[in-house]
Amino acid sequence: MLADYLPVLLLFVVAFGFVAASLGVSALVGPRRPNPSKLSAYECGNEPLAQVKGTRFSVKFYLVAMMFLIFDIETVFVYPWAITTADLGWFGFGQMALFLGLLGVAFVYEIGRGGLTWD
Amino acid sequence: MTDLTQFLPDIAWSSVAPEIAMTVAVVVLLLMTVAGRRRMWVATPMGLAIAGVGVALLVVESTSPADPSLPGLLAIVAGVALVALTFGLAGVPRALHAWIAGLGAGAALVLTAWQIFDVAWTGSLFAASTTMEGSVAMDGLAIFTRITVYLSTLLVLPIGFAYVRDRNIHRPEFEPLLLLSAVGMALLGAANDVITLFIALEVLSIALYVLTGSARRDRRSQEAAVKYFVLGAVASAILLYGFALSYIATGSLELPGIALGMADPGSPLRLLAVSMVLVLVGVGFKVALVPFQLWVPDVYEGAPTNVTAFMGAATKAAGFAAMLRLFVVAWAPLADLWVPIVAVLAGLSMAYGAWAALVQDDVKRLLAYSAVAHAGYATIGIVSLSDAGLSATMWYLFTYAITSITALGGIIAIERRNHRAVSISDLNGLGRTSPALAAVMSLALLSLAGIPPTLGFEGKLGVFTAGMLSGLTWLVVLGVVTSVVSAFYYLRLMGAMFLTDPAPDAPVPAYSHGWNAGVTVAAGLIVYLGLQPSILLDLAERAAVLAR
Repeated sequence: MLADYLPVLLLFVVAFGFVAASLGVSALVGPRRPNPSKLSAYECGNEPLAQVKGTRFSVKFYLVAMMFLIFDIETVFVYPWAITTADLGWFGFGQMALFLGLLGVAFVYEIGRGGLTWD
Repeated sequence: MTDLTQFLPDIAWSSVAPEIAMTVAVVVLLLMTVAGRRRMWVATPMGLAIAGVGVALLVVESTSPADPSLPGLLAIVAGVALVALTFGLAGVPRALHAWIAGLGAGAALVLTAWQIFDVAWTGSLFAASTTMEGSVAMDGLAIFTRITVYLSTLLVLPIGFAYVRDRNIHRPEFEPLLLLSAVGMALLGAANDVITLFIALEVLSIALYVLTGSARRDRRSQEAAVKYFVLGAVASAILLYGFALSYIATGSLELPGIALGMADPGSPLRLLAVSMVLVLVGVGFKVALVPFQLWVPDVYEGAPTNVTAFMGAATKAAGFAAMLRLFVVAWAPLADLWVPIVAVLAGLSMAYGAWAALVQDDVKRLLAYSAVAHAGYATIGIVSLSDAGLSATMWYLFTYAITSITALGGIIAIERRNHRAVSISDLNGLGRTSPALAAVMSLALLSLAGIPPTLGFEGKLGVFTAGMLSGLTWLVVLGVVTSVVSAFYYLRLMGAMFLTDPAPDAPVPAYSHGWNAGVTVAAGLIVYLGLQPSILLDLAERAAVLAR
């Protein structure tokens, strides 16, 4: 069974080999004459204006990200139900209503406790 | 389009009725937290809805075999009680929250009793069945775990009520998290497939991580929460990996199916052995068996004491329920392989717990090491691999839960006036300054040591008997020896209480109505069930029925 995956392995080897070979050859034989324009960030953003010791994020982002993640994943559960609503009938509707109801309680709690207020 | 209705599961709500009651209580509590002063706007419609469901249960013709009249009546009472409590305790929201949580846990306990007599009783034994496509078991183990867990919740709520106020660590999330954790524990006892089992384990663990760190200004509490969380997450991952391997090896997620797959002579034994070891690591962490016990002292010490009481009592019962089900049902065909391993772990736990506790000065830490030793005793019932061992473990966990709640309840009373960790010298002369508290503490310590007229003796007797019947003489001898060793440090605490003079400036322990009620009931159970164990012991003996 594992032999079936041999082409995948070969592809990996070829891909990595090509990258390693081209980077290695260019590093070995390529001429090196740096100037300021060559060393500047090229199509990769701007030069940083000030040196920042460790980027600082507000810890509030963490809460927002968590909330987003939770509710985002919950919507994923709704999709498969939405396309089979007719087949699942009232049973499916009841289950989904229960699920969304519990989720709604969590949402009400989140807003009520100030989980979404920034300041 | 294919017809999907044939795949719709038949959900037996009666098999999770206590958990539903608890979840409803959680929802009410969360909404009330948000509503603040306008809490009547939550209580009235919720109360009416709950009572309405109750009326519907009474009136509507039921198709299920279970008789719904008791849950119906209970829902009506609970709905009315919810509105009445909200009116009566409008000025004291904290008490209101605690009462609602108590209402939920009480309802869960009543529904468990209803399950015993109306759903799962055949006259002499529990009937074992599974519902929800085999995910949830309805058997003796599930129901007995519920009794232990919900009774612990009901005891811990009033005992810790004034304590969290005095330490100023109460937040409205406390009660919902406690109830959610209890729901996870109860489901862990009932889970019959590895997915349900894992989700129940996470529900109980995540709520407990937060509860452990609920003293937000206390560094030790924060440290305990982080340690518990990191180690717990790793243990969960290892457990999950074990489940994944067993699924590869047997192609089944349900525990009886895993056993069937193992019995097949063509099954990959090495893979199964590895998965067994990984699962043992995962559950061993949760129940604190020896090589996986490192978190126990720090977490028990750092967590708020009422959380420690809940954690020590209920989590252990739930964790052992899962361990019983995993090893006695799923890994039964590999018993020759795991019995020696688990037996050695049990012996190590007993020895380590007993000896490490000898040198402790902090009382909570001492009780944490004793918890490790008690995990070892409870494991004897599992490795006995018999019905007697099964019921002995369940019964032992019940006795340990009640006893440890009483002991930690005593510490709560002292800690409330001390405002710091309780060391052994804080107990000096307690027998003279507060004889009632000293008496209750001594009762709990004697029960932990397993001295005859107490509940702890009945528990130890059960596991040791089961061990002897299964020929584990060396383990039982080790258990008796470590019991003697551990009796030394329990008696050392009692000696501090009764044989030394009180410090002149020793603070007077603080009591409250809730504490009095909770500790009185717990201590009463220790004495009453110590003398008259037959009521619950019979139940435990008949509960040795597992859904397979």
